[in-house]
Amino acid sequence: MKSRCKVGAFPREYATVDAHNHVWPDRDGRLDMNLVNCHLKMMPLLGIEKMVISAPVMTDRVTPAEFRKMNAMVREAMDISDRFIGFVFVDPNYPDEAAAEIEHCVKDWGFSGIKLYHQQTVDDPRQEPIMSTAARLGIPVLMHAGKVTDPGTIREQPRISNAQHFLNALECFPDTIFMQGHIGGGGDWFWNLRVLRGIKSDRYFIDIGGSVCDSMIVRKTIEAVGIDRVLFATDMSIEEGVGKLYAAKLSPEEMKKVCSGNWNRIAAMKRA
Amino acid sequence: MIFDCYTATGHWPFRPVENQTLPELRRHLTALGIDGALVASTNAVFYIDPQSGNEELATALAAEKNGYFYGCAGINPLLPRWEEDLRRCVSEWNFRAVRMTPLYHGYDHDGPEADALLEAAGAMDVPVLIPSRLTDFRGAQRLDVMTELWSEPARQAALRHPQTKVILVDASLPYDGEKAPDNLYVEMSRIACSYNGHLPRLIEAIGADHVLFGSGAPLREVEPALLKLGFLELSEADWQLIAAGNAQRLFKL
Repeated sequence: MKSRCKVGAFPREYATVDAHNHVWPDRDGRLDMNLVNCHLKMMPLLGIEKMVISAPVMTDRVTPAEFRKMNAMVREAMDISDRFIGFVFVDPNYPDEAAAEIEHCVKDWGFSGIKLYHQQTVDDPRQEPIMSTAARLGIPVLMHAGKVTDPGTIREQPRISNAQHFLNALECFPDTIFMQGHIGGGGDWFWNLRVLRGIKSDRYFIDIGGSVCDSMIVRKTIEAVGIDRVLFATDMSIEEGVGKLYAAKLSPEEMKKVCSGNWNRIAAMKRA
Repeated sequence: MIFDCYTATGHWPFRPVENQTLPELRRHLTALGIDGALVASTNAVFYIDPQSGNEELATALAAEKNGYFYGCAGINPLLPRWEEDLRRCVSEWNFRAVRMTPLYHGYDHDGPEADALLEAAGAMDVPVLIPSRLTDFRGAQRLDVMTELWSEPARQAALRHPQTKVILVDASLPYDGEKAPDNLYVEMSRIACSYNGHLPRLIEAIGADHVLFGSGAPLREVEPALLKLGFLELSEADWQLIAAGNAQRLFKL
């Protein structure tokens, strides 16, 4: 099916990877097949070849039993389609169990990265076992992020990571690859880009996912961190992700970097 | 034909925005294949007297002289003689809709002032746009509004004023179709489409004749809304209703 408007699918030569998306449980706690089918229907429609998926839990603490169950669900989706690239979700408050789960999911199930949520900030010392495991395996850490300003969200997510936490983490964990989640995930993105402006690290990446598609958001992100650090992603806001990347009016070479080239550089570092 | 029912002109106080004059906005929308738009004044949200913003918009519309844009009035029913503002916007300047922004103008969405505006607009057969928000509050500057209306106030407004056509704008949560009154319409830009199929389900529930294309330009990028519209699996007739037909009917274009 072709778009009936002037904006349509990404060209096939971009080999686009959505670097941040999810699967979730249904009401019975099993993999939500309706969502899986929506993903698989949407991807060829919009020209998305592969999709990074994870299943984080948003409570303050997530027990090992809970995060193992979520990762098993991600594996189930990976078994359904090789379009899915699994990221393992863990809670740093359970360091030994988290490190073991990462090893298991990467070595036994072929997962390609780690997904962290707001249980601790990305630079917290309690992340050390996770970060050293990630570095050893050569896999990236994708962290939920945002500089939220409204009291309600601050109350709900007191340990959400912002750009400054990532700069700290790059120093604290000098061998780990970081992906800052969704510049459009809600929050003061101008503040984040102000902090990141001129960053030089080749271990830092940021994805464009999230529902916020403020005018100029992708162009400003690229201006701040450089084209080689920006990843295409949607984080469930599919058309928003595709549309705001088109709106940045990049050259085909730049589009290829954002759509897949930068992700491919990350994926090539995997040692497991 | 594609008609955008959710655009604005004027300065947004909290961040720079491109394409905020009517000629710039027209060029921007036209390049993306949009054939016309309803436009409201951002200044009418922030000026102490919104009618000054409406007047600027009327002047800019008159200068355009090409029929691309149709005006949408920003009315604050807390102000004395707001009824005269509404009459002038509709009768003299030929504006086709009203935009209610209770979170910015400081009145209750279900209070007597809101009801008076809804009633007056209904009596003039002018649709009322009720945005759930104007921007994402999670990153709002400290002087901006730090919440949003969500969907229910628009539904309640439509139930209280069955003679008034209410258009829910910039909202993410779709209605249960069975609970949506017939005089309630929904602008689609922020409703998830590919992700879990919310938009197709909404269209099935309330009918293609109750959904309108909008983009949120120039505060938001237009392309996401165009992608949602472009890939809707509908008959040509239903697709045309959402793209432009419903707007043509409601705004008497």
